[in-house]
Amino acid sequence: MKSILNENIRKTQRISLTAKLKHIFNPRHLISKLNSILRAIIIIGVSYYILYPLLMKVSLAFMDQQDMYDTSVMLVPKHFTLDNIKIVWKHMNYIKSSSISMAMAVAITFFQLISCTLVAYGFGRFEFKGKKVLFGLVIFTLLVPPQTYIIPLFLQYRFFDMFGIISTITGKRGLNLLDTFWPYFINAITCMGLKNGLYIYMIRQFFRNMPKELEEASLIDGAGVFKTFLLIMLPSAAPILLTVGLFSFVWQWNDYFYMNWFTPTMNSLAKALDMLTANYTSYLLSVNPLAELDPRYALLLNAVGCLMVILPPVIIYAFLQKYFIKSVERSGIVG
Amino acid sequence: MKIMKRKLTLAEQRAFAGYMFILPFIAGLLIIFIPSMIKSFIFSLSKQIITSNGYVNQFVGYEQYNSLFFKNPNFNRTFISTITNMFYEVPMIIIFSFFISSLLNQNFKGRGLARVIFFLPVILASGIVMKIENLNAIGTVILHSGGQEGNIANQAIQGFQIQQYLDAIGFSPQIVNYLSAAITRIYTIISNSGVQILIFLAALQTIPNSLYEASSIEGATAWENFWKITFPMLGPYILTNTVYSIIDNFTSYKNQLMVLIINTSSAQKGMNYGLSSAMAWVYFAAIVVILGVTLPLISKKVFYYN
Repeated sequence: MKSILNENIRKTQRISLTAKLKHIFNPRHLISKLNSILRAIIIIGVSYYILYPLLMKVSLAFMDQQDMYDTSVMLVPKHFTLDNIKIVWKHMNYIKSSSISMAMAVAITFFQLISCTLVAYGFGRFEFKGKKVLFGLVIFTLLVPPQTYIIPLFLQYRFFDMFGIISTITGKRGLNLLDTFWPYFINAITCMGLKNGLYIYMIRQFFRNMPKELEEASLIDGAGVFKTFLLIMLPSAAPILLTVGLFSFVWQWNDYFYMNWFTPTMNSLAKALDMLTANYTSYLLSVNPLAELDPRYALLLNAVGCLMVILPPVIIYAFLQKYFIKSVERSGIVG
Repeated sequence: MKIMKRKLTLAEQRAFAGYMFILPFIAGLLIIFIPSMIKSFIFSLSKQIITSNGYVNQFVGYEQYNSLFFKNPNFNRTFISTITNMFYEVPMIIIFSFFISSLLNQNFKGRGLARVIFFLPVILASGIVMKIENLNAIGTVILHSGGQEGNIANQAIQGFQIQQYLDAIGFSPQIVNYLSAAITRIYTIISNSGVQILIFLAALQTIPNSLYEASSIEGATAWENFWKITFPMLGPYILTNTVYSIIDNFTSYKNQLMVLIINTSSAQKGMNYGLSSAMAWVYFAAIVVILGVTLPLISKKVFYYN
């Protein structure tokens, strides 16, 4: 409508002032402009709430310790320093911890994707007795908080024994699987990892929406069930797999609960952050036995640590977000 | 006599293939999940006695559960407050994410950036980072009194002012309470809405435009469009989001009850795994009841397009 008006303006070159005013103050025009302003306010406001802690942390990261007590300093530090980052880097053992975290997160995500896709495909495309009950159990595993069964699980991995085979063979009580990658592997490959029920649900929704004709065509062409899965279904499932992979990676990266229980000696990044204050305090004590860690400074260190922990996932997210948001639209979780 | 081996029908073959595909999950159930749940239940019925080489389970039956409700000073209070908190938060999260996703669905400049920002909390607010945020929040209220990070203190004060204002206008006290609770919790709501916004956004994009065109030809206003088209079409996803929000709230680390459970099971407080298992089971039973009641209620009102 605007372009037509502009054309007419150019054609006639003369529009009376009242006509121009009428155009600007046209009710529909005004309402839509008001709408845009309101929408901008809401979106900017909520974005501020989301970004504010992040900005706070970034500004704290570069702040010298004395700036924390200076009430005139709000966001921009007066004394720019990189010391905090250096301290946190050293006490979190950043390179080693982050490589451990990265390796574990990638490996666990990989195995979780394999098992969850297989199971979701089974639930999505096949009919068999007890399907509803079994799927209910999938949601059930999501419901139960890990704290409920972590101790029996811990014991199970401490004295791992499948159906009594090991104790009959060796006479010992069972294998000690702690402090290795095995607990995570077993958890991932059997869909018992972190939030695996959710992934199964999401992927199942996707497979439910695939047209039956594709599958039937490939079966007619002679491919077996598993080949159909590998060659036909899997490539089209790339969007939802990317989404689930990102979710899984992020949640695994940030997890310190399972790490604490299953691999107490390996220091993942999340655990290093957990122990950052303790480490720094012991360092201070070793230098000066009477030293005490200032609580405000501890806050600052924690903030810097948080930043460094969330940095890799945010970078990955920034690269993948284009595919990520589009993928949910096309994935068929909805529709 | 020869016994003829019958070949499986197509349906039976498909069923067999289905079972094969979900084999990992069945294995997980049998090896990991069910034994652990059973053991945890047994734990909750027994007390741990620390002997020289570990601990021994002593079966005490329902005494643990009884003590939870009648003797433990913290449990009842925390339990009720957590459940009430959930009743406040989940509807707010759903309403908020519904609203935001319809905003984000419109065409405006910077829409991509807004979507990225709104989904950021999902990445930021999980696991260890959330735990530190919690500690930080408590710490900053004490240390930065009046300083720049007094988020919670500021919000509490502002909520109070709005509460007075609304009271003066003449709203009923319950509504005023609910609204001021919403305001003080706005930060939690925003951080917990990431996934819901994503789901609603994708859902909104599946509504065929022809519906809207047809209705505007018939002369429907935007308001009517919203209530007659958008809202019913999104029904199933409201259900999905409700389930997800309840589960998320229930298992989040910020939950006071979770903190209580974790503290009870920590080694410093006497290794009382039995008590904490009992707490977890009670909490879990409450959630099953809540879900079992809410889900059918919402499902009845949901309209499925196909």
